Amino acid sequence: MIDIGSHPDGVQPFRGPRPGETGAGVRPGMPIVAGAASATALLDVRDLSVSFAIRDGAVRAVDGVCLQLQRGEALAIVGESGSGKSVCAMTLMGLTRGPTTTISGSARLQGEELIGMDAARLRRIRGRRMAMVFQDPQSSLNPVHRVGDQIAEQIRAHEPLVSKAQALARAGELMERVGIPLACERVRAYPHELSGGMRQRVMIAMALSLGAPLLLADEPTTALDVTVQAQILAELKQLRAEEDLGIALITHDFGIVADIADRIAVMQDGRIVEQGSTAQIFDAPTEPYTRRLLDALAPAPRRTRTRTDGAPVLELDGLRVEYRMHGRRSAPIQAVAGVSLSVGAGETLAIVGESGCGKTTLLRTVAGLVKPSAGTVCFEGRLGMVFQDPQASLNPRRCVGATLERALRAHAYARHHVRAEAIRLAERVGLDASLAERYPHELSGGQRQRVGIARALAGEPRLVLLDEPVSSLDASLRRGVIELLDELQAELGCAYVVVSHDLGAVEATADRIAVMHAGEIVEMGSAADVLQRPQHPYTRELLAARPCLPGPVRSDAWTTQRGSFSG
Amino acid sequence: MASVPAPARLSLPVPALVRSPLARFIARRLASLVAVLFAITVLTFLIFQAIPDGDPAVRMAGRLATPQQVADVRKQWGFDQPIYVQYERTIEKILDGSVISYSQQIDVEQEIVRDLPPTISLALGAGVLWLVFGVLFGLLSAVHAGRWLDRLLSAVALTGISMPVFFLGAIMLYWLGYKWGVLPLGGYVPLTSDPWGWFTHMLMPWIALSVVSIGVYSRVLRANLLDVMSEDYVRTARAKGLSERRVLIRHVLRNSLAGIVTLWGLDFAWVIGGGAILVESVFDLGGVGQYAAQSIERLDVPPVMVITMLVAAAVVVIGALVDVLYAVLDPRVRLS
Repeated sequence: MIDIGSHPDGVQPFRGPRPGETGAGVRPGMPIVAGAASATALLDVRDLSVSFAIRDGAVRAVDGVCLQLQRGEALAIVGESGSGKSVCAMTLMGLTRGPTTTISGSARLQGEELIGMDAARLRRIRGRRMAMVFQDPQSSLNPVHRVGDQIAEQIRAHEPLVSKAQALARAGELMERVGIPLACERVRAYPHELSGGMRQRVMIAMALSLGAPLLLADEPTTALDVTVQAQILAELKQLRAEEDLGIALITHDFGIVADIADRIAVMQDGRIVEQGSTAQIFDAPTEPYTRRLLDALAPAPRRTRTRTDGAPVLELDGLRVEYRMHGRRSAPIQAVAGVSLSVGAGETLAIVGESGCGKTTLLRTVAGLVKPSAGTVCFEGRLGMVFQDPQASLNPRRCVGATLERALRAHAYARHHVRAEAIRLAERVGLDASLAERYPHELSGGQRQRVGIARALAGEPRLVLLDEPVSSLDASLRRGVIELLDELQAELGCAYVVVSHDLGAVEATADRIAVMHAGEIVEMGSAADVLQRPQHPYTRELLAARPCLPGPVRSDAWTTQRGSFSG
Repeated sequence: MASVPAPARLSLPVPALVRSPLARFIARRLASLVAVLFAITVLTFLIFQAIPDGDPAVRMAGRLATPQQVADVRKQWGFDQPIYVQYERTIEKILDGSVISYSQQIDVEQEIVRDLPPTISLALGAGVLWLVFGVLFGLLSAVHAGRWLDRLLSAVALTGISMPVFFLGAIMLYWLGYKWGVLPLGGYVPLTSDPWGWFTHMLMPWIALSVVSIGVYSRVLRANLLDVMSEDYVRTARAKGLSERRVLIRHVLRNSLAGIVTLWGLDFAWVIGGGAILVESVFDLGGVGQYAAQSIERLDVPPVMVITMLVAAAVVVIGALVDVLYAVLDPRVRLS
């Protein structure tokens, strides 16, 4: 392993793109680090900068990044969204090229310069000598082609002499190797017929199909359930050993890298602010930014509060929701299979389970968005709802003020009051009044979710339903939103029903936890009971899959705090 | 091009014998066809009852007829019966093929069978033309989005969309037909008797009819293509090392076709059912649309009823074919 420092010149001031710099390789005067060894490096990135032209000026997304990666080594690039880590990987693949992009610096793959390489040559390298796995396997696979065809297509694009049948046979073998059960049959499956985990395995099989030595994995587990995340990471780890792969793992979540990475590079605002072995970064981070990211991982301190055991604000009795997938005569699928529970005033109930377990359907039924097939829903007072993805759930053509005013008017506020009331709402969730004129795309993710929360509070609800309120936010922003929700609850005395796939995300705030599996609540109890004395095997599985910080890390072998999963 | 409203969906109990999804699909569509035909014929019949001066007996008896003669005609043709009896008789006659028009008192269905070849020729030729050029221009526009070719094609498309068919037709007839004499001045020649004559006679009508649609289709497709180009799976396709051409055809165009196919089916059905009245009249093709226009002018109920049923049937049948094609194009869609 080579010791890689941060940029030799340290943090550099902004430089405008220079004509002729694109593809220029190493600049004169730039110190050559470990020259002899870097000749054999799988990937050697020097002083890579990427900027995008926007209406008034340019945005420098990547600024003087230096990285090296050997075969069989895993490097994690960690940073918040917008830190430039994905742009960095996409630039290596040549996917950021375009008339508005300026790329400078050097990136050598096995000694061959990628920056400024002609398009035809680059096309032959993509997929064969470097491959990429993307964040969301659902949207990254073409929905109208069979998965086997999509793998075979890549094989045949690089090896035109291979027949279609041969390529499909190889696709089947690859899918089997990455642990897809019944791979030979699933070659003919369409992406929507596979689970999220299997889809991501297909993406990995595709990346392996031509034996590319370099794998760029851009948030490969972020869109997956916690238990599936662990399986995919284990798969990558195993492949790294078997195939001698060099893996660059890009993520915003420190929690998932401890297991797999040999080294970590921390990125902020397009620069690498700290780089070192995983042990160094976890045990002795030098940058305050790194510490902040690491702190965000530790569970928030459990709050103490005075419980008010008032009358329940929500009661569900034998609630069932059934869907029929194939017309009225087909057998019904039970999304919610007989759920009874009650939520007291000012209480927080967390409903935890994997995607597809029916938790979101349950929440939507309570909100009246889905009609129950049987059972009753009773609640008192008004009800507000906070959605998972604030980007998708805010009208992009309506500014913050208008969104809040509209929510207030829906609750019959007088027209001349709403403006002042909207400002008050915005300030209550920690948004500056000056943001009222902004549109959702002009806000940060955290600010958008605050708007979503403010909108839910418009009717002074006694019950607020929260569907994965922080899962689309960066780890470092989650704390702030969770604290805000706590403050608001203390101030307003409303009850929360929080739905999440991640036990870790709710343990700080929940009074009680209900674990949901296949439409039923398999375990319900006080947060302490469920977390410390889980009764149901499924709860134990969820707990085991929770991303954890490694304790004091030994440098020879990683202590795995995850449960181990196979296939 | 005006689109025809989608046929109403009607769920009827399906016998348990019908097991395969395709058979069930066909059975359900046939049931909906019957329902659509019933609804649309009732509506058409009622509209003609409500039209002022619409009494067919007065028109048929002639301008100088005495009240007695009018009463005789009324009795002879059954116009003195209640509306539902008149409706029932008309439908009966339509179904057994003996329906006679009020104005010329000739067999309506023979008339329509005679008028179908020019209309079908028009629909097929123009349909191919606007699909091919719509896709071609849409593709070129999307690939060159924001550059000069895109702007040029946008301008051309907008000009095409805003060009009235009768205006374009008249210009073509004047220059190509009259001034330069390269193409015949309207009329229809059957394909079977003179293929080249058929082609030269149809060329101008095809162009006149498809210009608007080429504009519309290229704009719709351009928007679809640009949406698909920003999809994650297109990025994956590039990352796999596919050539730009393959990315464009197999991953971008293939995923953008569904909307175009739906639009094309409806427009095609509309032309088959005589929707291209203007083009047929400008070039005097003597098609179904022209016959419909003449019949409406004369307030002649039977031909209008039959043509309306033809449109409805064409829309339902072609709509079903489009749905099958849709399911082939997008495996996530199931026939139901």
